[in-house]
Amino acid sequence: MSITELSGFAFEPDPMTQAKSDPGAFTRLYLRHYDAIFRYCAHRLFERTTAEDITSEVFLKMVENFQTFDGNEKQFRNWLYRIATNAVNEHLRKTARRSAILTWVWRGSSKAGVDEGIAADESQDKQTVIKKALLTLKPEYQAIVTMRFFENLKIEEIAEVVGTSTGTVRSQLSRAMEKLRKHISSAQIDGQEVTI
Amino acid sequence: MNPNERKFEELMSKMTFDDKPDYRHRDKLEQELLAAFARRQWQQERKSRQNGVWRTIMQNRPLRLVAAAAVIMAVGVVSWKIFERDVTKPISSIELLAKAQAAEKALFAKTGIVHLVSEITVYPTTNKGAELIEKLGDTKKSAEEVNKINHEIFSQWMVSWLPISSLKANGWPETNRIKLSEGAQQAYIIQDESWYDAATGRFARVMETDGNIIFANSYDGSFVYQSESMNNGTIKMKSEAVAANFKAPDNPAEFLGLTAGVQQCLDEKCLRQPVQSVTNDVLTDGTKVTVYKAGFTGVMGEQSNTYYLFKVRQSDEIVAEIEYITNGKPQIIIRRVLSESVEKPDYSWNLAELSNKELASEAPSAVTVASDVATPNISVRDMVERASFDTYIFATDPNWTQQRMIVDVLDTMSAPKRMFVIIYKAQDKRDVILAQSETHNKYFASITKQIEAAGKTLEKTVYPNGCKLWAHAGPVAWWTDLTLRSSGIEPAADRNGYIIETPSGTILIVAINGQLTKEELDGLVNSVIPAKDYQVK
Repeated sequence: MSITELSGFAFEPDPMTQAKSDPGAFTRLYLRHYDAIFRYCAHRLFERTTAEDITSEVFLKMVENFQTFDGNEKQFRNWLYRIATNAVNEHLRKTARRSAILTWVWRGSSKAGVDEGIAADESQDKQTVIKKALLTLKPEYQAIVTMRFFENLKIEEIAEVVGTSTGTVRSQLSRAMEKLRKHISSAQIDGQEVTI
Repeated sequence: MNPNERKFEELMSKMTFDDKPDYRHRDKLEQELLAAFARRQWQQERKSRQNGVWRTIMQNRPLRLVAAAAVIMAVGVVSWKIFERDVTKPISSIELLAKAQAAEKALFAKTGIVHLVSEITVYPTTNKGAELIEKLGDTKKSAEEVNKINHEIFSQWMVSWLPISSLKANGWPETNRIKLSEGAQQAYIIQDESWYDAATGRFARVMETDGNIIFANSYDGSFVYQSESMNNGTIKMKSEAVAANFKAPDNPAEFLGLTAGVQQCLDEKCLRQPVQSVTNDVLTDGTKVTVYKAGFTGVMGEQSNTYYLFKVRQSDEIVAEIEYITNGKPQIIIRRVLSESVEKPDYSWNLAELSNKELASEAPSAVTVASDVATPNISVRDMVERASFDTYIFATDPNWTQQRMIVDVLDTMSAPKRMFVIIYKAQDKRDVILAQSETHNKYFASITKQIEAAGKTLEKTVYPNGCKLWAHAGPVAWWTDLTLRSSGIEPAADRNGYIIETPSGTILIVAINGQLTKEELDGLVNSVIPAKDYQVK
């Protein structure tokens, strides 16, 4: 009898390894990450139904490749963010879809009784301006901004997600913020200039 | 974070989003993921098997028996449907399993195409029934030993094979069986895949082992396609246009999916197997299940060590696994692998398009699906030609009966010889069953030897036609119940069984689901004639 058996000590099975063969462990892993991935998609797309569709796509892609994934749960989370980033970027690259989201953002923020076609600029609030500004960014930049400011990921974690160096992430983040600043500054909200 | 970022973060933090997760979506996705997860695992497993690696579950397993009476079960599987043909009538079942059966049926009611995958593990068995019957006739054995052998024969009477239901072009079900080649020493795993389109009734079922398809049955809206096992163990596809009045059973679970075939054996008209125990268990994948043990009752009312274990998921009442235990050891295990909705089936609904490469057409498989279990509605002439012994029949149908059907079934104890069961249906419920086979002849010959060796006299009434009616067997005769139930008839409280010895020495088992007057009984026995002399009126 081994020492571990004698002492009654048992190693906890690695949850990632367990999840590859045990549907119960797999389900638990999924439930631990569903909320984060859905929120990330919602923060990038501003629209629930599309965010849910992309979330489904992310997890289904994950299942397809899960057996080949080799890493711990933190790396798994980053891997999910990477799949989600690619899926959202792919979605946003379709001009028509992007345009639809912009329209949705405009409509969502229009004040009741205001004719959307004529007085949209006048009725936009701060949130609309920021959302619109985010959508004007290249999807890659928008991903970094979202991960940094909405998901509170560290620069190192973002670098792992997008597969680049921390230096590159910092410079991309800086450029993204500059573009956002310019875009938002040019907008007038309630007659006031918005600055960041 | 530099001041610029901090200021930006502050601005972002005031933003509001519609980002509260909807747990209906989360739970729905969970189900899709589990199905995808199972499918992925199964595909990988299949891929590794297709590399030529058989999964050997067990080597040199002790030999198991295949009993003759199991074929009577086959009659039960097919016959009641043939007479009643009420395809809309739901299958009744053991009460405790009713929810599971309903859940199984509901699987097929989903929109789109339903795809089900099960895995069937078949363990090797060997037919020792003939040997046991031979032993039963050994007069040197003690009474205790004889009783033990008799009990073993009964135990194994129930055992044998997994009914595989398929649908014929005339809309009638056909029962097939999974068969391992002679001398198989290891267990084999069969993948059983079904697709069903509720909107059109189209379906496809494909069973494969080691990359070879061993069974296929489909309906594409116009034709029924079915594989046919050849004598050399290979298979070929045949197709037949459906009859004008073709109608598939309303419940696809009767011929597709995990409980196909087994469902009918749970029917109270077939073999009522009481649930002996209900326990909780956890499967290896963590699924919590309720385990129903449904077993046969022996000659003396004792619980047999031959039984089914139905493992039903506690979360949704779906059957996760069925184990068929004989003599305390698993003979067949059916495990649910996957239930999902798909856009299209992996195979064409027209399975005649299967290529020879996919079919077990060149290298015969060790596992085959034989369709030799039962052929209903054969003629008297067919019976005479197919029998390996002198067959008998009533010269005229009993005058209280209205319908007659002869079923040709495999006599597994004396395979490949045939057993013949003649069913006479009566409106007054006094149905009459007449069964005859080489196994019956040998079994009762052995019984006779033991009775004579014990110095007892077997009472027989001799009739003018040369038939001898053995002493009244009474309502408790186990074979009366068995014969009635396996013919799809619920035994009545006043049922009766008779044994008739024919002039050529063969045995006729007669079960009557009610009381006969002396005149009726005498008329019945005296009307027995050799089937070769039967005149169609």
